[in-house]
Amino acid sequence: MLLDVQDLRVERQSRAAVGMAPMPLALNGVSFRVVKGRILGMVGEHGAGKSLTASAILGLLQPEARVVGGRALFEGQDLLRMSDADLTRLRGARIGFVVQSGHTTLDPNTRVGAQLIRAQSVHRPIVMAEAVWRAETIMSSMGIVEPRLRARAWPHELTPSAVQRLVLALALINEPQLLIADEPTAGLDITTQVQILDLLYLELRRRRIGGIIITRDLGVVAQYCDDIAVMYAGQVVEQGPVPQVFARSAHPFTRALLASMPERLAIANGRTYGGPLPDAPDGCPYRPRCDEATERCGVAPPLVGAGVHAARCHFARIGAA
Amino acid sequence: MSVVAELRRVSVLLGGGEREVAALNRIDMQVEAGQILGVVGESGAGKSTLARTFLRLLAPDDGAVMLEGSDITGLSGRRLRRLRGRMTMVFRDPRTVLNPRMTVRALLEEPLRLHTKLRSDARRAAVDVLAARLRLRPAELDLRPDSLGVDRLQLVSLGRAIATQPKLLVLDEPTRELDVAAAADLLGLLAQLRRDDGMAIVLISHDIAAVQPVADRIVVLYLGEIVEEGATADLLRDPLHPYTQSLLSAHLPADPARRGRRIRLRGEPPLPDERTPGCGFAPRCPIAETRCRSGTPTLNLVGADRRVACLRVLEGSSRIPLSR
Repeated sequence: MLLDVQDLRVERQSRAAVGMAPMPLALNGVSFRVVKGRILGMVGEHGAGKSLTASAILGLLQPEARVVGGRALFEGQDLLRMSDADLTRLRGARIGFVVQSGHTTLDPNTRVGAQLIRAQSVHRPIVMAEAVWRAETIMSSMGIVEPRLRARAWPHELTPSAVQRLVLALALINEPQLLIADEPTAGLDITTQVQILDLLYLELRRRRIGGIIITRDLGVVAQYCDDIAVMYAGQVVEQGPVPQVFARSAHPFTRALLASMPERLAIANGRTYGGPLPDAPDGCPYRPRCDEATERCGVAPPLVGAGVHAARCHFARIGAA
Repeated sequence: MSVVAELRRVSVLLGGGEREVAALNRIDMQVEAGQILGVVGESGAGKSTLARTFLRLLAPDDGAVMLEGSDITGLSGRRLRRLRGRMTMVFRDPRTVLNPRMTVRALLEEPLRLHTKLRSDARRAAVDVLAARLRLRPAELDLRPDSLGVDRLQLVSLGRAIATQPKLLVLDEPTRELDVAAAADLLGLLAQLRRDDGMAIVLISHDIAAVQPVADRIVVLYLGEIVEEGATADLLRDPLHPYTQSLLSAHLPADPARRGRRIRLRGEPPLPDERTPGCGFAPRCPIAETRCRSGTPTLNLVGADRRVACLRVLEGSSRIPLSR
């Protein structure tokens, strides 16, 4: 087990706390696992808590949020109880991280190549020739042509896709055991998205790096991930191996997500789906949007299922066709 | 069906002097009442320029822009403003287009105030009807944009665009920032507007899949030119232009059983100033021949109802063989 997140709880202070009901937890018992060398796709809507989960694990929460419970075991060590100094040693070395809008992580005043060298030297003593070679190697494996020439470029001279390739190269250059990539191809053209995901996939496989790819696109999960964790309202509501979850989704939200994918979408002149977001009631948070909800759903559903495939729904039938 | 909006041999040049490039190059396109026209292309294809030209937010350098049979190419000032309620637009990111100081109600009412003679109580009633149609909750009408998520804001943006019951509605990547359920909702509303209001709708996206559920016809743009155009089902079943094939192949199906075998293009979508002579797609085309780099293909009718601009399509050899 590379990463084992158990019952992670994060609280966020609301802006208007006075006189209002207490805010529900932003993360309300998130549990999932990443197996060495396997890629986990984490999906869900805006505000479901995907990015927040990544930030919490890595100790990068904004000041208004804090961890109030749970564990995140990375190779047996609890990341949530680690000192800042230890986490700093880990991040960028054994855990690579690509944030959303990755271009903001580049230093606009440093040439691209120098940033790749610095990413290595902050974690260990380097031999310059070797560091340069590593930088060029990782650049070309991310599809940057003529890496020696491009290393001289400034970040602002790069196209959006080259920036994203570079951000991934930076996250991978120290050969991490785990890569967390938050929407690594959002906003790119569709033909370049495929190029980059193909290269990332190869790199993760070749080095047996475990991955978490955070995305809103189930297509990315279906095509590149081994496992899936579906998040809704601060919980993982379904998880399991990709083939099983796609073929026999156990949670109504997973099924609704799949049904909303454009290629599966049947719009018979005006029938619409989805609807307003719920107000986080008691019981199952998905209840207000769920076609299958009954009275039982007023009680918080348990995690149903044993082994690899599980769902948080009273009516989940794991493995049923 | 009657043609609502039309571009006739429209060219738009950007930049100036020696750096002048064609963002759109002799585009012929029309959209009918009760029709959704999907326009697909990547960066630099000219999608946004096209949207702005349809609405005469910019003036073409050549060709004509028609709305309901009249030539609006040369209109300006008040005469153009008078048409603004009849042709409207929805942009990609509603967070950047809605006035943060106005409530949702005021935002929905504004186009009625500007473009209709309705009195205040009638406007109020019209906003309530509109909100119900968009399935905005009454409580949401009193909120300002910063208390709403992007999914809801895009509905408000759509509401503003349809408040005056326009004949032409142009949407530029309206679902790109949305969650899949909200995107499906928005497409459902477009289907309603087509059926119940007979609106002519131009739906623009970088991803064919994002227009496919509702588009009646699809136009594929590359470097400011139409490379293929046809009825949605036909075009998806048998894409003839190598670029259309590549675009479809780059879509990632949400089905783990359909992995692998994909057309992989080299390089990135070019910008208009990087255009090479001959076919614009030739530098990235897996099946380009020498002649593709010299001769420029024209948009030809293939079969009964398809237009394709590819030299190889004429002898039926425009299909890219799938490789591993």
